Order: sequence, then C-alpha cells, then structure tokens
Amino acid sequence: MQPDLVQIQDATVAFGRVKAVDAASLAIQPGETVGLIGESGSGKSTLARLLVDLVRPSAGQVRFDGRDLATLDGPARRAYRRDAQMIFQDPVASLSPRMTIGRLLAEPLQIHGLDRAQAWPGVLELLRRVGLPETVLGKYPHQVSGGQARRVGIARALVLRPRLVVADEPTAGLDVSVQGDLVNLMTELQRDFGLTYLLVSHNLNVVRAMADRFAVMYLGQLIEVGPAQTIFTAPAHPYTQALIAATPRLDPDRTQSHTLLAGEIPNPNDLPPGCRFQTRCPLADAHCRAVEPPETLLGDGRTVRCHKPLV
Amino acid sequence: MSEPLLKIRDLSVHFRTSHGIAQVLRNVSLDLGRGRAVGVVGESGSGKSTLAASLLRLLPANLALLDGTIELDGRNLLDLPAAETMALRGTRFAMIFQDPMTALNPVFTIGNQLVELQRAKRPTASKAELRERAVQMLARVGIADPIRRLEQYPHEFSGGMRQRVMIAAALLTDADLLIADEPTTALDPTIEAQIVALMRTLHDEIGGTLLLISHSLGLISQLCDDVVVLYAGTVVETGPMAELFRNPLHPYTRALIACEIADDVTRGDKLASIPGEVPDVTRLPPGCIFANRCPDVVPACREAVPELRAFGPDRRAACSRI
Repeated sequence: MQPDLVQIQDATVAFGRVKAVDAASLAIQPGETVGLIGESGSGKSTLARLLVDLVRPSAGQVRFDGRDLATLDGPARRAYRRDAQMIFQDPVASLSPRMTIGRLLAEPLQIHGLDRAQAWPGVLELLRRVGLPETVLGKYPHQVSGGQARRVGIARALVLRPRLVVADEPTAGLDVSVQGDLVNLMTELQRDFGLTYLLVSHNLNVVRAMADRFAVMYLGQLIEVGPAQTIFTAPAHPYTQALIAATPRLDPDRTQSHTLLAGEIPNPNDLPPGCRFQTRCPLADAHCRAVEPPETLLGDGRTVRCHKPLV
Repeated sequence: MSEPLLKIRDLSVHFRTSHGIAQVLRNVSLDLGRGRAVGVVGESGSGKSTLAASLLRLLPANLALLDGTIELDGRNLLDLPAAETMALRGTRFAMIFQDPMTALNPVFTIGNQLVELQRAKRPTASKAELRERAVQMLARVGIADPIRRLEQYPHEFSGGMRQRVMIAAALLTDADLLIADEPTTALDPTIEAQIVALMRTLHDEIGGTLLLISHSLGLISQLCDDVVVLYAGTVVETGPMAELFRNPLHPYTRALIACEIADDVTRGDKLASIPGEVPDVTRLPPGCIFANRCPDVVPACREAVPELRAFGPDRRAACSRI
C-alpha cells in the first residue's frame, strides 16, 4: 500500500463555540476518490477547505505527503498550494467577472511565477481536454453556459498540474442532461493526470458514480468511513442508512422503502448529550442519549461512530 | 375522467429581452384533472416556472405576448381583469415557492401571516377562529408546539420547518389548485424525504389538485399521478406517471430517463447525458425543437413542428417518428 497523500488527524475547526469539524480523522490514498457526504451545516465544506489551506485546524493536524501543513515554510507552502487545488461550487461566482477566461487561466501561472509563454501550450491542451473551444478565451465568465463555466473552473484548477483536487458540489445546479458529461470528464481527467479527488456533495448518486470510499459527516463528526460499495449496499450507521433511503430515485412502481427520519437537525450551538444523532435516530436508547459513541473499527475495515451499528 | 379543474389550450408566453423576443412557452395545452397530482418535468429554460407564473398571472413587465386560454369553471382566466385574477390568488390558487425564506415576510410573526392569508376566503371569521385553524394546520404538517411557534418569526425556524410553514400556509387557503415550484430543492435529502411524504399524505387526505414543478424525475415519480414533459417551451409528452416512465414515447423523455443514475452504478461507470444544448428561444429553429439533440432525427424533423398527437386514451407525444 502506498503512503497516504493526505492525512487528517483529529482535526478540529472551531468558529467561536461551534466546532464545524470536531476531531475528524481521514486518510486519502494517491489516485483515490473520497466522497464526503453530509447535509448542510455538517461541516463537509470546512473539512474540504482544511485540505487546501483555506482554513487551519484549531487542534489536530493535516498532513500532505507526510508533512504537517502547520510546519511548512514559505517555499514549501507555495509548492503545496500548487499541489492542492479546489473546484468551487458556483463557478461563475468564484471566477472574477472582470477577467476574460484567458486571463483567468493564466493567473495561476503568474501567481506561481511560471513562464507564461512556456506554459501556454499546456493550457490550450487542457482547454481542449475539458471540452472547451478556444473561442471562450476572449469571453467573460457570465457569457458562457453553466456547463461551460464548470469546465472553466475545472481547467483553472488543473492549470498548475496539482496532485489533489478538492471539488465542492461540482454538479450542484446542473441539469441532469449535462451532469453525466461532467462526471465522465472528471473521471477521465483523474485517470489522465493521476489526480486524487476529495468530492464534496450531498448528491449521493453523483458521489456513488465517482468515489472509491465514502466519508459521511454529521454535525462536525465523521460518523462512517469506508469502501463506497460496502457502505452503499449495507450502511452501518443509521444516519447513513436514512440518507441512502432518502435519495430520490425514479421509481414508477413506487417500490422504494421510506425509512423516514423524524425531527430536525439539531442546532450546532446546542448539541444534545451522548450521540449527536440521538434526536433523530430510530434506534436510540438511554445509553445513546448519555454516552457519545467512540470511533469504532468494524471487521470489514470501515470506521463508524455508533453504539448500535447495523452490521 | 370527469371534467378537469383547469384546461390550458395553446398557451403562448413571450418576453422582450435584449436579444430579441424570447418565445418561452409555445402552444402549451394540458388538463389538470380534479384531485390529480400533476408533475411538470423540465430542465432549465423549459418554461416550467413561466407556466406557474402564467396561472397566477405573476408575469414580469417585459411580457410581449400572452395568448391562448386557461379555463377555470368555464371562464378564460386570461380574459379577466387584473383585480379578478388577483382575487383568485389565495382563494382558488395557492403557491408553495422554492425558497420559503423569501416567500415569508421576515417582519411579521408566523401567526400573523397564517391568520391574514385566510382573510380573503373568510372575511367575517374571528381572529381567534383563524388562529385556531392555523394551530391545527401547523400540527398537521408536523410542527411541534404550534401555539408557541405562532409567536415566532420566520428566521427562528429551520429550513425544513419553514418549508412546512409554507405548505401549511398554502393549505390554509383551501385553494382548489396548489402549485409547488421545486418545493424541496433547498432542503437536505433526509428533510426533503420528510416533506415529500408529508405532501403526499396531505394530498391524499385533502384531495385538491396539485401542480408540482420539478427537474427531479425521482420526486415526480414519488408524488404525481400525471406527468407533463416540457422542453424549451413546449410540451413534448404527457401521460399517467407509471406508464410514461415505464414506456416513454418521446426521444427527449427517453434520453432524460437514461440520465438518471441507476442504483447499480459504481465508480468509473460512464454516465449518460444528452449531447448539445437547449436551443435559444429567441432564435427558434424551424421544425422540431429537439431535433438538434435527437438521436432519431431525420431531415423531415427540421421542416415542421410536430403536433402533440394521442397515443392511446391518456398518452400524447409530439414526435413525428413514433
């Protein structure tokens, strides 16, 4: 087994009293895709931002290629920032409206002091690889379609030839007729450029088409981490099970079973005692309401935070 | 089938834009059967929200053409004066919006808003009576402690709770037609599933007509009896839900169903998509609107717009090749 590209060890990110990420540990292998799933407010975007140095842990560590990010000096940090790139959720909002797409693609080269003339043929090749015509180079982000803007966001993330790409909801808001194209493109780019992906999404179907492993977050904690196929066919945490059951699917015969959760997601300012999921869990008992479940390693290699795992 | 609640015939809606006239809806004809849940499927630019806005007459000022008929109780709504169409909102028609935060007024309590919206239909009822109805409706949509909740403002509710309040508000009007435009897109999946189940239960119990607008085939299959497929401003297929999804007739419907990510998809599987882009409705091509993306296209498709033809008693599709 190769050494991990990314290791998050007991990382906590606190915003005031709220721990957006609470003692999370996750390792990512080179070339792997980890799908990070969770509902809004679960901390998945904050965890993703830890990997690209947009937030720093208030406790714990994030290691990239074996080195603790907190200890990186100037040049090493610059090199790491080239190696770890992010594809943002809303490409039009994340791209400057005052720059042409050509300038947007050249900007990372400039920031990292690369020779533009030398790097430009590679940029044009990348443009072709993501399926954009060269005519977009003179346009502004708002002048291209939603699907094309996503492709610009992907190309911009790849200009510096990173090793890790963090994609935050890469297909959110896209029509289903173009969603498949984008997923296929990301899969091909991963193969061709040897990329490692952390894919953040609340769309379980898209994550399933891309991820080797799932990491499920609930209120700041990773509550289940393991092989995607295993988790999808037999979830261990009752929350994961509810999330899978809740994913709407085309079902003309209405055979889909609905294990509905009762109740709402608790306020992160006012977490319940014991297990964080106890307010909505159909299996919760007195023990769950009093004692927070530790992270437990199951026989099949996944970790789960539950007193009563389903497998 | 009994006489439908609403009959839409040849509805066309055009807007003036900086690029020319956008023909957002063209000759849309459909029936909303009494007590039926009708799902309108459409991707961006299909005109699905304009359809809802036309029923409510909430069309923007750059309207260039509003043509056709929308018949309710034998009257064409498009002929009614503005004041009368306004009077239909909140009495005959109610709407559940996509974003409950912007649809609820932030400076009034929930109780205040739930009482006032009943006034149109119950002008002489006492405030206490209307409050009591509001309390009961909040309890029905699953809001705990409704009497205390009435005193709160929208920001004190979570997203799922606000959407429940919106549903309660719409139901309190006792409207004949409930229009829901992407009612769950802003919600997380487990909360979305709760709201979908709630809407289905309430629809079954109350028996009004529901028009659900959504891009999610999954949601429509779970909630609706009939389906209307819109593409770039025109109806390409209609039919009963199970039949239409099991045996789609129009190539666009077939392609859209193929884009759904199946349960057995795993990492690296190639996903389906529909090549090409939705045509620009300011510069419509002649012939079939789907021709430039259709796998079955022949030269004749680009010459004349295909009629919506009947295939069996309840099915219709607009494709000359079926």
